[in-house]
Amino acid sequence: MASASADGAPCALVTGGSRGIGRAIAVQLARDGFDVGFCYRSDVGAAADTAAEIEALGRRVHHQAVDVAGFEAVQEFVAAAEEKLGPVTAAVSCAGITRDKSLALMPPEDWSAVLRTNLDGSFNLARAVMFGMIKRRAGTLVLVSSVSGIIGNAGQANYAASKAGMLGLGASLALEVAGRGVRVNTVAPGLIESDMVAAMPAKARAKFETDIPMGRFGVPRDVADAVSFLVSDRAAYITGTVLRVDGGLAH
Amino acid sequence: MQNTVADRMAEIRDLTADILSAEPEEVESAHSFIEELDADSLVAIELLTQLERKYGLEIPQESVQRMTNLKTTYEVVAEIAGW
Repeated sequence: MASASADGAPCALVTGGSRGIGRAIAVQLARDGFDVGFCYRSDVGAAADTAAEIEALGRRVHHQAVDVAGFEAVQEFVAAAEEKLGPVTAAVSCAGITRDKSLALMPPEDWSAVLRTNLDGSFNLARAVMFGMIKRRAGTLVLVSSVSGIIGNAGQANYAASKAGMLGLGASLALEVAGRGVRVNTVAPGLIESDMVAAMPAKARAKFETDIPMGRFGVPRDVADAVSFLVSDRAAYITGTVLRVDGGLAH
Repeated sequence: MQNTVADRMAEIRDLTADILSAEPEEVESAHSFIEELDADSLVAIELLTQLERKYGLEIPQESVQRMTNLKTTYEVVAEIAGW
């Protein structure tokens, strides 16, 4: 790793790191040897649990409540994390929300809230870390998109649009910075056991299970392993790609 | 004192020429690195990084917008270095 904090560990940042997929990523990156900075919207208890897990792995942690839709708020988060943990080597945009509804009935607030958190939030993180990564000619960014952004999903026009936007953001940014030693990739999880999916009615769940070629939902760890690979030097020649983690769903 | 300014200006000119793959004379005469020498914002970040290293400075991100030609680039560095 090119950049390291005082004790030699590189620093990774994860937005939306207190619960679900984001927590699994934060903990996996700690296991991989990163000190971890993560932010979360509101669940202080879950954030404390995630932080404790990271510390139990012998890694340092910085965490704070941040609304990733706010440009300045994300800048401050990144600055505070770097102050404590050193220059960021890996950044993961995982903060995401849903406001599912048929588009014909969707309030504009539900459209913009999802776009602002998921897509603006990704821009805000990328913008906050990219300058430094380019300067250091080292670093990697992973955006956690969704299969919804690839194949669409009825009732999720806002979510799918935001996730498709992240695919375009990742692909373009990868091209911009490829010559500067910075890699950008996207993962597209399918249906993963998390709070977001737990809210799904049993009938919808059963239908999805038959749609998934592998016949089951994924777990957060499946996504975390993909991110762990993409930020590592094992993926040194991989940039601008979309790695689906979906049991074959978006075939 | 005048010499120092000229020397530093020449240093920055040569460094910029290296990064932009241009001749020092082209750097000196360009009103806009972007329009005349095919620079882009990523090259500007490279220039900023090299200037920081050379002079032991920390140049804020926003300064990139101002570093459009040799004169303004020198001004940015001079302001921060307190020359």
